[in-house]
Amino acid sequence: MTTPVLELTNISKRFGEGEARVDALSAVSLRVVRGELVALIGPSGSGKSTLVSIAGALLTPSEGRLYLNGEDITDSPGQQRARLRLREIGFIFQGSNLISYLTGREQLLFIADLIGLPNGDARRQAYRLLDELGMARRADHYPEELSGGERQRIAIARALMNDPALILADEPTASLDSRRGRAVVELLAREVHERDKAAVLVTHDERLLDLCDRVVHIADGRLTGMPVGAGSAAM
Amino acid sequence: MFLALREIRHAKLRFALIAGVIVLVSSLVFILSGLANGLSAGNTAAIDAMPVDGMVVSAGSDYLLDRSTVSAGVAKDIAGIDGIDSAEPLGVSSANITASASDTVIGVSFFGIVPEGMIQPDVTRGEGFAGHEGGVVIDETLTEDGIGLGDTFLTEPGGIELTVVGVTTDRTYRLRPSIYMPLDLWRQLQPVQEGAAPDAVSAIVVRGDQAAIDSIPDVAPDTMVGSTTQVAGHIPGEAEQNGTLMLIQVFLVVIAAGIIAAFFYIITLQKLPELGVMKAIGTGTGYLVRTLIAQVLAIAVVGILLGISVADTLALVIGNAVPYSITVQRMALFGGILLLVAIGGTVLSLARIARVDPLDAINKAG
Repeated sequence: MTTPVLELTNISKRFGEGEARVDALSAVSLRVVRGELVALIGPSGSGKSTLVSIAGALLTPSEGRLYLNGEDITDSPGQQRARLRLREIGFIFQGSNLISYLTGREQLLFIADLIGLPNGDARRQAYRLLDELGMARRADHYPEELSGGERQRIAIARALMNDPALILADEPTASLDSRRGRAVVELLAREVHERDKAAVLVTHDERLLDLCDRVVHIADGRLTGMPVGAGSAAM
Repeated sequence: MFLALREIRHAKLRFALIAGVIVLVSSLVFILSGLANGLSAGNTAAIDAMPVDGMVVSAGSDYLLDRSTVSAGVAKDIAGIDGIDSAEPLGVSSANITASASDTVIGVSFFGIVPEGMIQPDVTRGEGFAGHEGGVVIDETLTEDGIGLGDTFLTEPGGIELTVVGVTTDRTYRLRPSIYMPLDLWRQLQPVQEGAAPDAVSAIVVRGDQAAIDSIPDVAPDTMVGSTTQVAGHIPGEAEQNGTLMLIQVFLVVIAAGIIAAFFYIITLQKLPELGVMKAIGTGTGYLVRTLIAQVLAIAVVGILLGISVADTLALVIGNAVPYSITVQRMALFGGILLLVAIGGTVLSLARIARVDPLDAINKAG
């Protein structure tokens, strides 16, 4: 069996102390492998965002271990986490996650600049991604000139620009109508499968679940539904 | 700097406005600097230009040449001190002259000097007064009042007719043109004072090593010595005028810092959600800091360069109506100060950028 790209073992996260203590996550374990799109679904306040923040090396857990590509990064210092996020993880956020003063193409070239990709390679890769996501023609528009669906397609392209192992999408369809939202997730699913990435899609829209390989339910900080690592692609 | 210039390009108006404010503030700094320099030069140029190491004036004169009286004879005693290379008497007085041709009365300063001595000015036109009975060398600025080479004028006091035989430049004293003449002639023009020594002059100028100069009061009683800078600094109003203009310039620099700080801080606050996203996707704080500094540098450099050209253009337009003079060194100094202050003004914004939490990019409601 291949090493999972993302592995969380017995992750707990508490906020506050004493009376004000909130258990956002309790003993959560999750494995995501290459080529697998896992949907994380749950109501507001269930701990979805906390889980994706920990998986994205943005937040340290109170207990448990976090592995990325088999490497324990639970206690990695801030700078190393930033580097991991830059090199190994592609993020797609809800709503306004593009940089307002960069065109679609520049959103991608910015990532290339951060990771120090040579100019020619960066331009070729940006073009290929934009083309794949049907944004080649709209690539030189600013976010304010793009529709919500177009913006999220640019965001997907940006998340792939660093050729990450793991893609984390935090409610990417929240600001879209259901038809456009579905189109965006279809694109995401296609990229994950074609490029053999591991991906977690946080959503509360059950109509999207058929596009995902596995569904994990979360409620009150605990995972329910499919047992850990029991997804078909994980076998 | 991938982001810096792209953001400026996208928000042209915003950045143009702040650059415009910097242009105005910096041009005002440069204009004031030029004015301060020009006024100061008008006040002290004739003193600054003297290639001497010290000036001996009477004790209690507070370095005011008009108030100082020294016997010319002590120049010989001073010249005898070990380490003093030369000592010459100098007469300085305020006077009025009346151009023979036009009847206009002009305020001037008379400098009585030892012919062919240390402080004989270089003439740019005509020649020195040696060999010309009643000939004098005038400062260039006097030609603007209609007195030029070969013209004659009447002195007051004295009532003697003198002829301009040479013209020199940058020799103004107390905002008046200077007129250089032999010491003997100068003495003739002084009103007779009761009890004054017959060989009284204003000061003795000396060249020599500093220790020897400092010892002069031991040899020449009732005197004190100072550098030309000291004497220039004691010209009435000089220190006050420089202080006032300097204060205004300091305030302007502080204002520039405040404006830049406020502008970039507000821009940074507006961008916080975006900065959160950037950090979440792995942008280091250092990268964001460099971006901001690059923007400030770009805006400040453009603003300061335009400010210099505005100040220079204005100086050209004003012409000789006000004394304006600025050197490349002073421009570089004030430009450098403004640049440093601009970068200093970003400290607040940088601190805010450093505190941005990448976690802010994640939707908290989940």
